[in-house]
Amino acid sequence: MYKCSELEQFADRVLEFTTRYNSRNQLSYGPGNLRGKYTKYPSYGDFPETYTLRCYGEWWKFSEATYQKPYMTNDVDPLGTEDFVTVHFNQAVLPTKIYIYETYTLEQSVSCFVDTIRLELNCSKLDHHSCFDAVLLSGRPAPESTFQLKCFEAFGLPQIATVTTICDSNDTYDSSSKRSRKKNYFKKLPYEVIVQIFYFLDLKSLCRCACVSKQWNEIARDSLLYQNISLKKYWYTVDTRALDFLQNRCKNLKKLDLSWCGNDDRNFPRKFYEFFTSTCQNLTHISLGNATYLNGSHLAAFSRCPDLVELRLRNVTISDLEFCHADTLTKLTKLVTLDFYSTNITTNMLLPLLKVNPNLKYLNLDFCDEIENMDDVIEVVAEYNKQIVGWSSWKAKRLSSRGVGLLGHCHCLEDLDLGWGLHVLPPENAIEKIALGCKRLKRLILSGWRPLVDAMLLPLIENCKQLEQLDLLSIKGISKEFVEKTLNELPNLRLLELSFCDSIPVEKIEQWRISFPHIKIQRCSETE
Amino acid sequence: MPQIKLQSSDGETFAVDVEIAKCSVTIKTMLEDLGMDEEEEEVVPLPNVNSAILKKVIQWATYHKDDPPPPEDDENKEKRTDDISSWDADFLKVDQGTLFELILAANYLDIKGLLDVTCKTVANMIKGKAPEEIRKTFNIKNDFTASEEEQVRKENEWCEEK
Repeated sequence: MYKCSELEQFADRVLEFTTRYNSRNQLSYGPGNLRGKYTKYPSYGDFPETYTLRCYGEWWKFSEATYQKPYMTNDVDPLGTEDFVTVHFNQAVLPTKIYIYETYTLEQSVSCFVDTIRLELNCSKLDHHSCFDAVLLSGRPAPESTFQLKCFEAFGLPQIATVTTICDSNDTYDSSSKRSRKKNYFKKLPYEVIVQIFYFLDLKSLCRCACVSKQWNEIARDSLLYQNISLKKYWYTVDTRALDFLQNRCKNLKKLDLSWCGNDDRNFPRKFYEFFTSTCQNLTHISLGNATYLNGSHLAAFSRCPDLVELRLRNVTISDLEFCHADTLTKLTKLVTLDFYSTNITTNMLLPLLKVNPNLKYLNLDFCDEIENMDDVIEVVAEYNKQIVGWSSWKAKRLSSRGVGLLGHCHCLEDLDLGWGLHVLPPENAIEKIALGCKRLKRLILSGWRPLVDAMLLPLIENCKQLEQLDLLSIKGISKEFVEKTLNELPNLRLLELSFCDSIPVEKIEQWRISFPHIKIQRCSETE
Repeated sequence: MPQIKLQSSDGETFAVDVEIAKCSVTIKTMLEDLGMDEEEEEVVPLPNVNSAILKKVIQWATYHKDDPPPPEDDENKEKRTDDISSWDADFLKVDQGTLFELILAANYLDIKGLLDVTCKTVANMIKGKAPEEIRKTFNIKNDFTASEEEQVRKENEWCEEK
């Protein structure tokens, strides 16, 4: 007999994720902390035992090095999903409840057994980091016997509300019925005007339009409608069939966002290669976040897009990269944005690419563990990429005061994220060099630069009057006098991150929040 | 303010401020090409627009006369359809025949703002509907053979939820 008793279980594995706070090999704040029972909940605060997300609020959207503007506004997720994490459970169940910190009740019945959940996240409305401790899935377990499972297939699952679409078969089109004397006004519109209408549709609607009639089918295939494609919203349904569908339509493809797609389909890598090489001639933008299938031949294919200005490969480990020639990508010479967030890109391959791209403005090298020495990269950027506006190298493996000082040669810099970067060496006068060289700075992230003290930071306050966001998280050597000066002397300041700055008393923070209401002063610590 | 007379296909004339009439690129270009004298009471014939529609177009153009000019760059054109102003939404609460006539008029007179908002309105009528619902909404005949229909359905089914 099939038992209907509920089973509660915590996640046993984390399968995939798009964002994190800490490096791959570090457990603290990592996604792995979602496994098992909660350890800190219901305590409140910032705990290394949780999964902490890197971004929150709208602040980070300032950074084009990190934030990708949507390629296709019709296909932007209405819920604003920006990130996800996929967790696995030991046993598949018919879900009844999912707990994430707080109780979270599914509104829709799920009519299949589930052992994997993807939590889609949008942190842009938050004004602080989020820390997840655990995920609990509650539901009725799948029966063990295959006979019972077969019964379910035959008779339907027990007590599950099913949604039935009722099709009224008597109400189909009939040219003699009264109703149809109404006109098909589309017949009056010229082809190009119907294209204009379809231009405002999302991909799913276009697919449905193609099924309406022969005329609509023809128009819905027009390559003008497929210049900018973003399939991220459809990640759960995109497979090789989708690429087949698009391949004939994408003759004018300019922007392609295939992030999150294709990881469940074994044939996807080959099909993607075929699709890409047949449609890429005019591409200007590519985004392939979490494309776990990427390999060296794909990389070589990218180099066949002479007009490429934006290349974003986030959370990607390119297989057989070690067999790729260092010049694989150097045919790309018009790049403006290069995003290698959490990839295995190597110095060998990166430096030649940087050298041939004088127009580069945005570079993201967060979590690039294969880049042994960030100084080497900065040295090249300072010489060849004078236009650089946004630089991000969160958790750089090795970054010395020499390298940081060289960033002072990049006079166009507005956005500089060096969070958790400086190890081993003392910062010396590196910050001063940045302050004197980069007077346009609007956003500066120095999280975790523990050796910094007031005197090293003062040149920033004196020279970088454009600063809007300043992140000094975990710097324990700063005084309240310095913070006061910062608040008073930076007229454009909007965000000041002072979490874990233990030398600053909490009472002072409260006072400043009252005196400087237009500035968001962040402060959190384990003890609060 | 100087005025101009527009004559509809059914012979009715409408006196309109020149500046308002010029939101139609077609009229604007014509006036510039002809070098119209401001003293003269010229009548511009519009053989493709009837009086009911022309009245609506003038009403729309009058309300929107101070709008900033639409951006030239089509590539970065905002493709949202949920940004129709409440005035426009009310203005476009008309029967389908009128709506499509307005699209044709906006296209013929080259009034980008009106063309965009009418096309968006129709796009919103398409969104979220299954093919059969679309056919019903616009009275479109399904002219696929059974096997053709099956093939098109297969080709396009990838984006339906599994």
